[in-house]
Amino acid sequence: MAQQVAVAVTETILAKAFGPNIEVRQGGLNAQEFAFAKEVSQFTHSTLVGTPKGQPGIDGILSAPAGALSGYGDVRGVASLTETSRDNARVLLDLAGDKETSAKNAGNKNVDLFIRANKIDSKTALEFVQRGPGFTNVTSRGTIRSINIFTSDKKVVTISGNAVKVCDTKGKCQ
Amino acid sequence: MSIDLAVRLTRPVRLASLLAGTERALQYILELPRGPSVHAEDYLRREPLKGSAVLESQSGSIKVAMKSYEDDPVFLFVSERGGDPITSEGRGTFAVVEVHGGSVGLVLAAAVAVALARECKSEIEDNRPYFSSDFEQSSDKFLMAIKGINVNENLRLAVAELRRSIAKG
Repeated sequence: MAQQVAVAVTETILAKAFGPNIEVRQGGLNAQEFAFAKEVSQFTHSTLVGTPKGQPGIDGILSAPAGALSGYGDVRGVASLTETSRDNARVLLDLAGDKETSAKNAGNKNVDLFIRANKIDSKTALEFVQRGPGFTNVTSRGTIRSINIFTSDKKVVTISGNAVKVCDTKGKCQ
Repeated sequence: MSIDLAVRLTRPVRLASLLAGTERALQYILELPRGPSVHAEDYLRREPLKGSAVLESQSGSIKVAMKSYEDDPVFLFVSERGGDPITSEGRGTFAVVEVHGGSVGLVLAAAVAVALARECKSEIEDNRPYFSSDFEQSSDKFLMAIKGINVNENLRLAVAELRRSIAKG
């Protein structure tokens, strides 16, 4: 008991001094997936644990990092990661709908979707998101909780419920 | 991170035809005398699917795997895409092949997409960055691309690795 308290106190002091200990555990992710998982972890300030390969619709579990005030191991969400090199912003809506169907078919709820869009910048993504209710429809049906688009100009356009924001890759939003 | 290949579903596709087509495509991609055996199951129910089953909107998630490589499956489902909110471009029913990064899975996803595209006489969409340099290709062009010299390095290595592994087994 005393040892556990000592560990908790040490973790809290370290977290206050250096920030919480964010980790990314590879699980079934390959090297390219692992690299994106690190960006997602940095953006969400969460530890990301990769799921095994044989699971449709999701790629990782987001949890509070060791030493975070909410406590180690608190699950924050389920992550679905995908990537596109298309430059037509419509692909973002296609992917959001496809991933919603995939997650729903697999019985998942409240999934956070992360899309790496290699050829779409934040201005283009934001304009497309604001053209209609397509994205907010996805994030309000219960399967996908948020859509986070990592754009070519190193920003993240994030849609959560009905709110749309542009953030930097460290999670600081305008 | 899932990587998807999408094919416009122009008609319901019988699973038996799809699996046979996938085996033929694998045989061609891997340059083997005979394609590896492929089977399908309902992901949520964990039940094998019969060849008479049909891929359609209500199919749920179908897990497709190669015999002896069950740990590297791909997932197949039907998605109703709304298309562009103003022009409706891209609206329609699509079969989506989802793969989660594994080398065997990449090869299998390519083969399933080829079989689907042949059944539906549709193009294979969304195949970058992992498969080829074009986004929309016929099944024949897609096969030429992934067997050509400009094939994505990840896929080239995956094909070579799988061919070696099957030859050993």
